Amino acid sequence: MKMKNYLLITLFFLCSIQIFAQKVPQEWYLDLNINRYIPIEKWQESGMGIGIGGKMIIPLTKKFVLRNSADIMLNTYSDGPFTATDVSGNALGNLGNTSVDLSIGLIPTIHYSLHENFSVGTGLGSRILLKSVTAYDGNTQLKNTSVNDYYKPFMPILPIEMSLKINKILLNLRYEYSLLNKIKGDLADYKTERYGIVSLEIGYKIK
Amino acid sequence: MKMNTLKLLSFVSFLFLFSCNGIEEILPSKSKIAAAEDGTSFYVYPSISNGTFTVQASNESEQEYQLFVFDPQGKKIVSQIIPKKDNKSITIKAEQKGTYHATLQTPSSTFTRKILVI
Repeated sequence: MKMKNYLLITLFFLCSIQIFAQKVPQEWYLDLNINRYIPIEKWQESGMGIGIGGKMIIPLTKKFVLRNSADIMLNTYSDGPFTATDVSGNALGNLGNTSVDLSIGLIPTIHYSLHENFSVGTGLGSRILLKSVTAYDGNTQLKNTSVNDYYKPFMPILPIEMSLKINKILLNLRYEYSLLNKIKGDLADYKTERYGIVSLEIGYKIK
Repeated sequence: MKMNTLKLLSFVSFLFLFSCNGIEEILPSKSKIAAAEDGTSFYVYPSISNGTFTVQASNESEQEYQLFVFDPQGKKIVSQIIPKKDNKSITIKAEQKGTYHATLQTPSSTFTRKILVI
């Protein structure tokens, strides 16, 4: 499915939730999150990040609720070893590097209450990549920062969550898995990058 | 049940926050920049460039290899076959800044190198 179609379906779904939500009681939360971006097959190159967001919770039945979460996240990770070479092809050594992704997550989930204050849930969401840059270490005279334009802007994700509610605080632990190769274009036929993001959200009930 | 749930969530949070090591520093390597496979070599230089870089590969095997170069958007801009017992050297004049990729595909493996054009 084309990414634009997927985004349209997600937006339609979110709008539908909003229309439905006008007729039932809702809870709104403001979230802070800390996260860990984990490249699949290269988990050693994972890194910590932060983010903010919010969620709307709509009861469906006594045991099930619908959650509509949105966030904006900074993720960090290493992009693997980068070998610097001079104009003659001589190796100058491997440069350490740090990549930073700025993305928006739209994550609707269905939660099932295992206990009065504890629930687990899953759904289907999107992560929209706004910018990805990699900064390389080293003492070259050049500014070693590059924009990673070879990443897909839209990524469908599979979220798995568990939540604990304590008065007005909602703790939510989520693992989201990228369903497609992050690389776009022809390069995707020869190089694969997939990732998971573990995030711990601390939400405060505002309504 | 409530205490067990709290303990479970605390435990998972503890694992999440403290069990990982952060980004590992990649130490300088003295190894040659080659994808050795039956004497095959694969070089890109300079890997940080102002606009011109060279991709060089040699094929010492009895099978054909394929050499590709991709622009910063991941679009293939070079596709060449390296016949058996042959070599290729391609100089690219980059039209845009960003991260280029060079890929050597052999029957058994795919090797990828990055080139930064800044």
